[in-house]
Amino acid sequence: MNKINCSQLTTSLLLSSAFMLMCLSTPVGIEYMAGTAISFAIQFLLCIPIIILYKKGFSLSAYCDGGHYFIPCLFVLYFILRGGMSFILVWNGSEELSLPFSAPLITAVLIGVVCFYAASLGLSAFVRSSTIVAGILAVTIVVLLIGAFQRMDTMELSQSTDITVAGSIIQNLSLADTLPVFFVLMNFTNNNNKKPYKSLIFLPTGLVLWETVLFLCITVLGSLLPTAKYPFFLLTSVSQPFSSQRADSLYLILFVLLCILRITLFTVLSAHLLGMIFPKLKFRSVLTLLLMIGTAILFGMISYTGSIFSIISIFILSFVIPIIFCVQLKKHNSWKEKT
Amino acid sequence: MSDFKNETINPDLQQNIRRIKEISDGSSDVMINEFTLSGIPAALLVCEGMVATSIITELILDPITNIQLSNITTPKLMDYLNSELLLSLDRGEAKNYHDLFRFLNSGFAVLLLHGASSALVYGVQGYDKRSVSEPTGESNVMGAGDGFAETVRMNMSLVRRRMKTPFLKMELFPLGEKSQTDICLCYMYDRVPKELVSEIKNRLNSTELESILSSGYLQPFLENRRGCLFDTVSTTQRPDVMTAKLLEGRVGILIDGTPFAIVVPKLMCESFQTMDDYCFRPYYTTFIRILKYITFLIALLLPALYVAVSLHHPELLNRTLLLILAKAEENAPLSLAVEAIGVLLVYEIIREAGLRLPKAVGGSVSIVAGLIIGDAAVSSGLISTPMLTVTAISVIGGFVVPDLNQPITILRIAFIIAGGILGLFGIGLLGSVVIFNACAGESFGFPTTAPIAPFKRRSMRDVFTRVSFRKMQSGNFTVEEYNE
Repeated sequence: MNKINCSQLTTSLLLSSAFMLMCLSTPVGIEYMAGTAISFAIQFLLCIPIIILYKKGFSLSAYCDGGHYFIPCLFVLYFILRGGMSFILVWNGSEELSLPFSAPLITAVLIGVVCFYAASLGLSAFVRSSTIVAGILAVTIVVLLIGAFQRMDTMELSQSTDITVAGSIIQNLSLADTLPVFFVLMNFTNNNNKKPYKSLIFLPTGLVLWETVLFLCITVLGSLLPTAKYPFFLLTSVSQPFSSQRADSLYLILFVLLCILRITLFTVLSAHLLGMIFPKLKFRSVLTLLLMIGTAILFGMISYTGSIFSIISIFILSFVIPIIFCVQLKKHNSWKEKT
Repeated sequence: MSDFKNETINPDLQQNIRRIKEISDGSSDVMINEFTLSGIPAALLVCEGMVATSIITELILDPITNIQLSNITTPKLMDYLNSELLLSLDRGEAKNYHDLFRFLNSGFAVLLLHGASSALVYGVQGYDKRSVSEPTGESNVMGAGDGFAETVRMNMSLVRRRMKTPFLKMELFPLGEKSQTDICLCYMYDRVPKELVSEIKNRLNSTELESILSSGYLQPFLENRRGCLFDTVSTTQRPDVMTAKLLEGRVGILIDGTPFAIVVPKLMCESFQTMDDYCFRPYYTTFIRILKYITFLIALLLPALYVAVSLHHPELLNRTLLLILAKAEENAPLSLAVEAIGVLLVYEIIREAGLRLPKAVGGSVSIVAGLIIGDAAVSSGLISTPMLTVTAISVIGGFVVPDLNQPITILRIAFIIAGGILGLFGIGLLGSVVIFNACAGESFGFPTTAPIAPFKRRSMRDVFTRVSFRKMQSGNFTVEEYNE
């Protein structure tokens, strides 16, 4: 698998985070903005062991080569679950998108086919595509800002919502599934990446994106906000840059692009880890996608949201495991990247 | 007769001539002139129509018929001819029949001497060739007016005239089992990545083609991945464009018999650049570049967006536009998607017909297409005016980036189908496929989407914008910066 650079890692994680922002389905207020900022700070702290670990020369591939498969299995499981959750988000979000068909399974299969194709092209194609989609996202945000500028009312910031700062921190942390992805993606960063902390730029960038959109949601939507099922989609409907023509299609296409990128990211990483665990296993991407769709159907049937499970798994995968690795790395030189 | 490849030349002249006639099966254009040179039987072989009579008379026939040496042997005569006489600037020696025929059929005069196990060859080419003229496919306002022609050596000179540095290396070698086409590999050896040259040579040597009649024969062997929608190998008719690319560390391949040179690696952003960009003012070039990128999107997506929005998302249209469209489509018998695909297919048929027909008839096709089909189809209500307008804008938009015309043509129809069936969701899905496909494209390890993806900030000065040469002159950019 090819190596990726710091900016490619940042855009990949940023876009995954942006999809979660689009699918946000809670009433937002100034408390939520504060909670988001605090949760990003916590995420930053959680990432420190990962940075220290990779700074010491850790390599997940070398770790797997040593015959240790339990932790990679945990990551595969987590990525499949998060991929499945992403499918559910698409199904729920598609109600707002007015798709020409109502069957969620058709949506899942179509997205699955595209993700399979994208995953088959490898990580290099994925990270390069991320750069282009990041450009489209930037254009979209600019269009959104232009449209929102005329309708913005900062007085709306003073209105409080039912959600508390603590509640919003917990909710935001449950959405922080980019951290385990960050841990695995760091394995593919360039050998000459002497400053791994530079990769953390995705957190401040993500924070700016989240806070900007939340700020726009609060100030533009105002009294409409409590009724909004998906604040972002309502924001795009309200803040149109042209008075005579709507620009919703731009956001709709962006939603599909982000969704595919996110699921492809989970698929590529799962398939790669599965390849490390079971080198002879074929059709790993297809298997991963089928498992994701199966998970989505199962979760959809039992209406599972799993916020607490999500936080615990993020904490274990991106904080506890890196700390364990950091402690044991001195004893196990074979876990280090071969130069 | 294929076993002559490694067969060495027979020292016996008569046997030699018999064998040559046998191999060529008495071909009418192989002319064998036997004579005696200072008492030694000799033969001068030429291929009719490939040599210039005046040059061969002046440079070869006159000097060698005047040679009068006494007590001469064949080795001494060979030595004399080689070292004392400069019969031609392009001289060589053929040791086997394979080489002999390659020289003979390339317009060389072949001198056979009795007792010699090799033949002396002299370049006296004089075949008819098209002179240098303006490239038909890459017209420019302020760029140079000369384009490549069909003769490889002429094309080499066109490049060399623009690049007098000794660092420009040109390697000429034959390729194609039967055609033995002259291929010239051009590169700046101080700038080109060494692995790129060796990889290209390996790929070319591994081809088992019988003939190479156009650049398209070699392109597939230089592409890295099947299923790539966009070209990973570029072609140009312009020596100035090729020279500029060689300066950036690329490799050019000139092929005898075609006026198109191949250049590798190709970057997609080059499709939006022309030589004129570097002649116009930077602010104007920047405007044109951005316009081209927007036009590319219009050419690709406009009919599909029109179909998707009208069929599945009419709420996105403003009231006035919706009323206009509804009124126009009221009497149309076909669905919007079918109508759009139909109009595009008719256009492609007309284009193809106009392209292949003689120029005189081509004009008539335009009249029939424009007036009769277009006007009649709209007035009869078969096609709506907005649909015709949308497809016309899209088609014209495709001409702005002619390099991408092939993928645009196919993808435009694919997007209409996706938009017609799945609406904007379908366009998003297909858009993802196209983005992934384009980003997966690599040419010898160079991503075709560079410098956008992977993003290289320094190179952005000549992608969406074009900075002044005052800034561009420093930097010594080479394409190696993009290698992954």
